[in-house]
Amino acid sequence: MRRILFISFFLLIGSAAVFWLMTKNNGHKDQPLRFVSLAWQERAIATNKSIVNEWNMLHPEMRVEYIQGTWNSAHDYLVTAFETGDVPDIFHYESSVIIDYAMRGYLTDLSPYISTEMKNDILDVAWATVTRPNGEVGGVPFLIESLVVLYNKSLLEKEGIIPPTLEHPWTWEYLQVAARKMTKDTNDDGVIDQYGAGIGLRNSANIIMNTSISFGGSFFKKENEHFVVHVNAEEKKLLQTIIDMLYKDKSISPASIGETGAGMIPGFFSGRYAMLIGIGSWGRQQLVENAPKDFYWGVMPPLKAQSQIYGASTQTLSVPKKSKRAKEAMKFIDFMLSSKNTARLALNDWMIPARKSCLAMQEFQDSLGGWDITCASVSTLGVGSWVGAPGYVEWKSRVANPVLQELFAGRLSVDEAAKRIEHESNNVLLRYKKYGDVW
Amino acid sequence: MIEKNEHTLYSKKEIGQIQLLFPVILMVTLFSLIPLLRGIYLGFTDYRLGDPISFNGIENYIQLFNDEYFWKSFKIGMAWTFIVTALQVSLGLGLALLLNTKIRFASFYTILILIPWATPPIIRGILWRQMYEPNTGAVNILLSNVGIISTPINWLSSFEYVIPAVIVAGVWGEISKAAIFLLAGLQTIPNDLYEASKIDGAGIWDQFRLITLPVLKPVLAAIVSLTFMWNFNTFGIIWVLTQGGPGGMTRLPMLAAYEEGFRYGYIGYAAAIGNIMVIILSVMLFMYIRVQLRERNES
Repeated sequence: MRRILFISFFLLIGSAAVFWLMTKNNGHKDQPLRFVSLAWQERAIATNKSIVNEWNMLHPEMRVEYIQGTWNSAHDYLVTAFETGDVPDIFHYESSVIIDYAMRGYLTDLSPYISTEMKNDILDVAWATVTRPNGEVGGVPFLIESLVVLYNKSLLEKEGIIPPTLEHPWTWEYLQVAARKMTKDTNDDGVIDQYGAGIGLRNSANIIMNTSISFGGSFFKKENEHFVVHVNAEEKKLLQTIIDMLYKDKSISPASIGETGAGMIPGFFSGRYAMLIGIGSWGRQQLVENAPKDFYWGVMPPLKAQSQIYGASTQTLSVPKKSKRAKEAMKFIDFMLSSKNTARLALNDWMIPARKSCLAMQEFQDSLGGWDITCASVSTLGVGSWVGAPGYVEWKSRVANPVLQELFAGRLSVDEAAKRIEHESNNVLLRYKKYGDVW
Repeated sequence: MIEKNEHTLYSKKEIGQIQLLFPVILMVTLFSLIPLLRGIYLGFTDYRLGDPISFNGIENYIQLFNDEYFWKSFKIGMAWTFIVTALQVSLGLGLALLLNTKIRFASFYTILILIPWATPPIIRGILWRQMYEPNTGAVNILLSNVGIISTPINWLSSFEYVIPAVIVAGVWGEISKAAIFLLAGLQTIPNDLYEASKIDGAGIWDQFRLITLPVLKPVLAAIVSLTFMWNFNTFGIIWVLTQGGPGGMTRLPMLAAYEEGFRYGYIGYAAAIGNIMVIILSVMLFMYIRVQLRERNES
């Protein structure tokens, strides 16, 4: 019996020691700040790492440890971290998700820490994507995710189609005509082998939501202090346009239905799709690095429906509430997202920088790589009504993506899809009613 | 022989056993029992990420009862479980019968068919995802070379093909498990039985029906129940292949629970789904044990 007591005593001491070792890192002065980055393109990772190194050279007393995260697992990792308290001090993520985290009380409100210079230099539309109605700021936006249309110059030229310019953007109607013209069976075997366009429609809620603004749609509306979802004529018009191009004109490749934007790029290179609609501006990096030698491409200004206004989302740096070193973390964010460094990050990730001072730089007005047209689109960026709506993140993956998948696969009509979205939305948003007071 | 110690309830030998068991018991308690009990408890709370936890009785189960998403995924899960289990066991039986004949290099084949099973489900998923890749995947290239299809099929995103596609991937990896179990069962059948039946004029089909199947019944029952439970809890391979898509077509119950818990933050509700799954599996396990016991009593 004594021996049992003895053994259990030692085991207890042992596990307590392990536990202590595991938790003692938190908030200790000598430990480096932990920074989780989601950069994934090779050059973006290198830029992130070199900025961290530069900081560490300048601030040996406040070192930062670079930790590589991935977009696929970031949510699971962060939620686990928030709940257990073993949090990184700074993390990189995306505006629509961090606003949900802020709502759940996971994030440090950064508004008191943000310098006037930073506040004024970052675009208002970028701040709007991370600010809750009560003024809390969930993160510092630094890259703007915008959707672009890429086109194959040679294929347009062959058909005598003149690409749009900033002064003369295309309308959706014109896009449809051009896409029809470029859809053909080049080797006469009865099978279409060149399509006017491709769109990565696998998880299309993002594309559809952000594009719907240009059609005058919004999906989310506030009624009696609560959000409701309506799919009206404006939203339906966008959906119908895509359906028509897919099934009536057959000018959008059917391969689009199950593909992501990145998955469409090889077909764009091989000339299967003359245009890529609704791909993130980061896609240009793939073109620059991997395109065949004689491949000439361009970026189109935002397509015009009622307007050219597209919804924006941003990539952000945030500080968890459970981080005990928010002040130091913010100092690092200040350094990491200085005008100079934001420009480096944007250039190497091929995205629009959120700072006005960066947009004024020569690099971002260059026509090489389509920077001029891509960055000019900041003047037509808007903020979707759904930004900050409680339950939007769940709605997007539970309702919008699956129903849109069924719609684009041809299993639902636009009206049926609209009805299902409205019906299922109510179920989801009901679960968030208790958050209503805050908003 | 056992020397009873006056002062304690246990003999010295028993104390020795307990000492040896102690580390294991501690580990099981820490890493299995406590999380399990906590999981069961969470199923009766409204725990939602970011909120404090409070007990809410059977509210989760009432909500679950009316939850169209869950029931849809439950139906998919049931269909998946029955089809995949049936295919795994029947194909496994076929394979076992082949291996049990006196072919050359039987042990080599046995090792060969074990490989898929030895591969973790996640890796199998990645493998099959590459096979199903629309432009470069082996499946499309093969089918178009043979001339069966003219345009590539996006197997994992198409509503028509996704179910057969994931079933093939799911069955493939687990046939070997059934085959190995059944092969072990087959090897216990004495050859005399077959020889005697041959003298009585029984054909191959009669031998299978009258000798092989009855003798194999307990092993079959075991493998069917185990495979059933295993398939009902499938997560990894489907998660890698489709993440439950397209349009929720392949959202098995475990994926639904995972989404509720981690994606949407309803930990309490996800735990409730887990509890329901445990109950369903317990019922099946109970039935299996009952069949087993009956078999044993009969023999």
